Amino acid sequence: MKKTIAMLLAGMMLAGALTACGGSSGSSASNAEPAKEETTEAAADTDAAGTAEAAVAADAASTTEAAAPAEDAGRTFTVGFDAEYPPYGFKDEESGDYTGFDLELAEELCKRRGWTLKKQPIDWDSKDMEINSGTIDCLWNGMTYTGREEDYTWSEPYVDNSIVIAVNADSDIQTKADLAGKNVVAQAASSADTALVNDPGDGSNDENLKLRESFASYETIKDYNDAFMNMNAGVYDAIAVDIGVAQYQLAANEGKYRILDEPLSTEQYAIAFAKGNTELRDMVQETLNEMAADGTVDEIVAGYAEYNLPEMLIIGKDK
Amino acid sequence: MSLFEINNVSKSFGDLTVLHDISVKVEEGEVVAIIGPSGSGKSTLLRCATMLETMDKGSLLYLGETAAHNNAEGNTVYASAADLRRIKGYFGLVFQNFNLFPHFSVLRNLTEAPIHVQKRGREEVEAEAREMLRKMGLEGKEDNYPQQLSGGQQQRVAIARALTMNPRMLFFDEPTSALDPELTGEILKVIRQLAQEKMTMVIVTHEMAFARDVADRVIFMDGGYIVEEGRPEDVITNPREERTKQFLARFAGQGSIDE
Amino acid sequence: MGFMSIVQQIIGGFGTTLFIFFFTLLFSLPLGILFALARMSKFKPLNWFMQVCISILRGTPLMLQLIVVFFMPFYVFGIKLSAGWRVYAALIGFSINYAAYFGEIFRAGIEGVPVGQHEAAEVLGFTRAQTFWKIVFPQMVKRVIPPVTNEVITLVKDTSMAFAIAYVEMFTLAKQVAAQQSSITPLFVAGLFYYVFNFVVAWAMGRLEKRLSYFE
Repeated sequence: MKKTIAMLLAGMMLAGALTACGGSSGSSASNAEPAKEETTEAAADTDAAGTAEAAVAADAASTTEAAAPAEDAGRTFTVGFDAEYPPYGFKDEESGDYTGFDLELAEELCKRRGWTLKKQPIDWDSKDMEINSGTIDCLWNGMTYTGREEDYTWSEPYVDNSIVIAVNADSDIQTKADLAGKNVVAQAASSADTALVNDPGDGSNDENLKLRESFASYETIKDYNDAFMNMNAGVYDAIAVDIGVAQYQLAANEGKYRILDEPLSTEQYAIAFAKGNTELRDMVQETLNEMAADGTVDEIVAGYAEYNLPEMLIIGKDK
Repeated sequence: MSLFEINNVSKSFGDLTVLHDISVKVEEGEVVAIIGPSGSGKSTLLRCATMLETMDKGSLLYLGETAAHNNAEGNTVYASAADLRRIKGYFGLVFQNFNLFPHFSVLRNLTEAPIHVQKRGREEVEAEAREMLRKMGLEGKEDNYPQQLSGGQQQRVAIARALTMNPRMLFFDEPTSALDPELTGEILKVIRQLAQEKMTMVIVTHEMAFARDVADRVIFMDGGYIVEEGRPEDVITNPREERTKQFLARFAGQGSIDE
Repeated sequence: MGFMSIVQQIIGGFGTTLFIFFFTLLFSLPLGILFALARMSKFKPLNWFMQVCISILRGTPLMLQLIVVFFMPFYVFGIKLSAGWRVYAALIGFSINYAAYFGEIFRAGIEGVPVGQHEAAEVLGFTRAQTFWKIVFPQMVKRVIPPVTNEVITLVKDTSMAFAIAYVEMFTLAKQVAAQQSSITPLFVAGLFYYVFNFVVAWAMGRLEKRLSYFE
C-alpha cells in the first residue's frame, strides 16, 4: 500500500517536473563529503574466531542462490535507526558516535561476522521507503514487532517492551482511570500511538480505544524528547510511551516524572528486514543467538540497567 | 544613390494603421526635420527606419544596400541577420529618454559597442571617446555614472555614444522632449554644430524654430500621412496645407517661430 | 552536560549545513537564470513546460521533492540506491527547488529592465547574448538582491529538511543531542548558529547592494 503511494507520487513528480527540468544540476560535487555517517571498521580487528565465522557464513551462503550478495564477509551492514530514540539509538556525548543498546549489539554482531557496520540515522517516517529501496539493510531500533508481524521479515523478538503512561512527578494522575479529561500525547507513528489508535476491528484493542476516548485531547508529536519537554512545561498531562524511553527520561531528569503502575499494553521488539530477506535475517539471527548464548548480550545490556533494559530482555533467557 | 531610402512603408498596430504608404529619401549631408502632432506616425516612421519596429509593407535601403524589400505578395521581407548587422552600423539613434546604460561609466557607455561590436582596439576607441566627450563639453565626466549628470549632459553623452560608432547618419527621436526647457538649448547647439559639419541627420522634433533653422528639408506628418514636405521656409513659414497651418498655429503664441 | 560539549557536537553538523547551503547556491543561481530564460522563451512549448515545472516546484513541499528525488531511482527505475546517493539527491532536490524560486525572481528582474535599454543595445549592434550579459544581467542583479537575500536566508533554514532523506545536518544533529541530553539547550544553540550565519549572509548581501548603488 505504502509502496503504491510512493510509486504514484514518484511517477507524478517525475512526469511533471524533475526529469527534464532538473537534468543539468546535481551531477557535480564529486568531492562532496557524504553526510555524517559513522562507519565502524569491524573487519579491521577481526580475530581468529571472527574469520572462522565469516568463513562459515560464506559457506552457508554459497548453497543458497540469493539475489543479493548478502553473504560476503566484509560486506557493509547498514542499520537504519532513529537517533533521537535513546537508549536504543542516540548520539553519544563523549565520542560523538551513534550508540545505544541496539547499535552496540549490531557492532558486536558485525565484528563477529566480519562485516562493516554503517549506522544510518533516518527519518523514522520514511523507514519503509528506506528499507524497501535498499538504502538500509534493517531497522534495529526498539522496533515493535507486535502488530506489524506481516509488514517485514523479522528476527525473533529480543526485548519485551510495555507501553506505559508517564506523568509529571507531582501530577494527581495515579491510574489509567485518572486520565479521563486529561491531555495526552505520544510520538507520531510510534507503537504507543498504534496502541491507542489502532482498531483491528475484532474488539481486541477496544480497552485502549475507550481509554483514548476518555482523554480531553490526544495528540501526536515529532519525538518523545519534545513530548517530555512539553509535559514539563504543562502542555500535556500524560505521555503514552515505550517503557525504555520513559525510563531514560526518568533517569535523565531525576524527580521530574514518574510512571503509572498499569501498562497500556505489552509488546515485543525485534529486528525488521525488508520483507522476503530471510537470508540476511537468518545470518543475523544466528550470530545474535551465539551472542546471547555466550553471555555477550547480557554484558551489553548490563550497561543499560538504569533504563530497566536487563529486565526487558527476552533473548537467551529461557531458551 | 541616396544614403537612406524608405519606400511605400505601411504599418498597422492591430486595426490602427499608423503609416500609410510613406516614402522618404535622405541624401548625404542632408538634415531632415519631421514635425507633426502626437500620433501622427512620425516616431513610428523613425522606429521603422532604425528597425526597432518591423514594417508590414515597404522597403528600406541604406547606401543602396537592401535591409528590407517587398516580396511577391507585397509584404516586407528583411535581409539576413548578418546583412542587417552590417547595415545597422551605418546609422545611430538618439532617444528621447537617452537610454544610457546606468551601470556603465560615461566613458564605457561610449566605448562598449565600438570595442565589442565593431571589434576596434580599446586604446584607439577610448582616445576617440575622450575626444568626443571634450567636443560635447563633457571633459572630466568620463568616470561619472549617468545618474550623476543632468538631463542635458546625459543626452549629450547619448549623442557622443552614437557618434563614437562613426555612423554615416544619425536619427534623433524628439531629443529635447524629456528635458527641462532651460536644458534644450545645449542639445540644439550640439545638433547645429553637427549640421555645420555636414552630418546627415533625421530629426523628429517639436522645436519649430530649431527645425526651420537647422533643417534643409521639413516633413509634416499627420494621421500617418506625409501632408507637406519642402524647404523649411516654405513648410514652416508659409504652409500651403490647411492641416499644417492648424498645427503650426498652436506654436505661434510661443514666439519660437520668429525667434 | 557542558555547554561547550553541545557546541562541539553541533558544530560538526554546521559544516554539513554550510555544504548544502553553498552547493545549492552554486547550482541553483545559474539554473535559476536558465529557468527564467526558458520561462520567458518565445518558443511556446518550452515556455509552457517551464511554467508547469515552476508551478510544481513552488506548489509542493520541498521535503516531498527531496524524498521523490532520493527514492525515484528505486521506485521508478528499480535501481537499488547506494549510500552516497543521499548527498547528490539532497543537492539536486535543493538546487532544483531553489532554482524555481530564483527563476521567478530573475524573470521579474529581467522584465523590470526598461525596454529602452534593449533598444539602445540593439541600435548599437549588440547581439542578443551581449545585450543580456552586458546590459540586462547587471541591472537585473541589482534589482533582485533584496528578494534573493530573502530566499538565501530561507535556504539557510531550509537545509534542515535534508534529514527527510536521512542526510544529517545541523538541526537534526541538534535534535539528536537534545534527545541525548534530554534538554532543549542544543536546539537554542542550533538557533544561535542559524542566526549568526544569517546575520553574516544579510550583512554580505547588504554590502553587495551598497556596492551596486552607484547606478539606479
